[in-house]
Amino acid sequence: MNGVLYVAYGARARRAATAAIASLWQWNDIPVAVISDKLGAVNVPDVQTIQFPEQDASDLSDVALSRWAKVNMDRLSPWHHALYLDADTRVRGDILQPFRSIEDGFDMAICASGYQGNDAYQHVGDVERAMTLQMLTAPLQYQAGVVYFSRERCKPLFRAWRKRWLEFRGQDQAALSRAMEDEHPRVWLLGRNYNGPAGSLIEHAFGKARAL
Amino acid sequence: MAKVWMQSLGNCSVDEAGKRVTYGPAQWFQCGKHDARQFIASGSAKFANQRDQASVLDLADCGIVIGMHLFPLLETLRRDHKLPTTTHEEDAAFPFPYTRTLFLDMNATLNPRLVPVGFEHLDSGWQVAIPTCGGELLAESVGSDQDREATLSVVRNLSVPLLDTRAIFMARCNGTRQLLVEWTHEKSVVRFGDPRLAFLRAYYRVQPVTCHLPAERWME
Repeated sequence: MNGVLYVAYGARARRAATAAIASLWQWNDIPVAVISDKLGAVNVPDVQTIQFPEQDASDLSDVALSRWAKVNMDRLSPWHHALYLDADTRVRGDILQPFRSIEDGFDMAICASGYQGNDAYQHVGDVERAMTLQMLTAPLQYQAGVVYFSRERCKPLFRAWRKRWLEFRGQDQAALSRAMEDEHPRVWLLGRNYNGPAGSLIEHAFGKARAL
Repeated sequence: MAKVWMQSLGNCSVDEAGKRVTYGPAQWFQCGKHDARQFIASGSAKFANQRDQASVLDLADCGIVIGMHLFPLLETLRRDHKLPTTTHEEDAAFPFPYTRTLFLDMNATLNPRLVPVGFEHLDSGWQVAIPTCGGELLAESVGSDQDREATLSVVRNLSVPLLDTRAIFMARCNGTRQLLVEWTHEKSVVRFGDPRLAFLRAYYRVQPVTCHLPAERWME
């Protein structure tokens, strides 16, 4: 069974996730779960809330918690095949088709980032960016705000992603690139209409939700 | 770890006894092999001598399969990396003579400095390393109706980026052998079809472990 996962920590993210789910369901009939620190995180009927972490983590900021939740999605997803969507995405059409690539055997379906080459990882801290560029030699940078994945087949990748994220506890995207170099997943590349500021299927505000 | 001598062509920063030291143009310095590969890939330094180059860029089992004999990029690769080459006749089965092979098309505009890096990706566990097409060219934008229909029937969605089949790094293994067989077959399915759509169909069926490379960096 397939489903969609959102991560929402803090009031702003929960509001953004509520609007994101409404846009998803306007076009797609698919179950939704929200990973959050609070049960009933979003006030939307039929949305499952997954509380994470179960123990107190008040020493972590909402942003850090949301990224830690994201790199734990293989442990939290109720579905074998899941689509993770950032809370600041808005769905503009039928986005279920890429699940077929996961059912057909790819581990993950994801878009390339709009920033490549010398522009890669500009949003990442200086030290992490330098380490990532030092470790990786010119591979494609993926955009991790929209990720279709197989929960089982991606377990090694998520394990590596957690380990890599804990190195800096910052953004998750550079950590994903390093984890991919560790685990070599089978990736089906999607067009940016699935994840872009003007995406015709999934429009992504790229962090503006946090600034609202 | 053994270090090699390099000459800076721009500004090169290296760690020396825990301190970051920057060398300006024409200055000589020593660094580790990983740093050396990064400097070569970025064009910011060159090797001081052939021996150091050979010790860092281990291309002994690598080679190039090309569609045509002579073109400028091939001359550069032969001169700079001393790589052996094998020719490939159009529509024939692909030869696979090297452990790590770069399949290179006549009109490829691959950045020659990055060729050793492409081979290195194959060493780190990827079966295939291939650039995307610049400007995120989608499968829905190329080919004839028949070609797109054939592709849609396999990959189910044409809103996917094409891969640049003019330059493909492949490690010799069962997966890549199968990929080449499938690609050859798919090219025969649609006469005068777009080879990138044929590759996409083969790629979807075989699902090789692939390192995607950004066109912005890899193609000139």
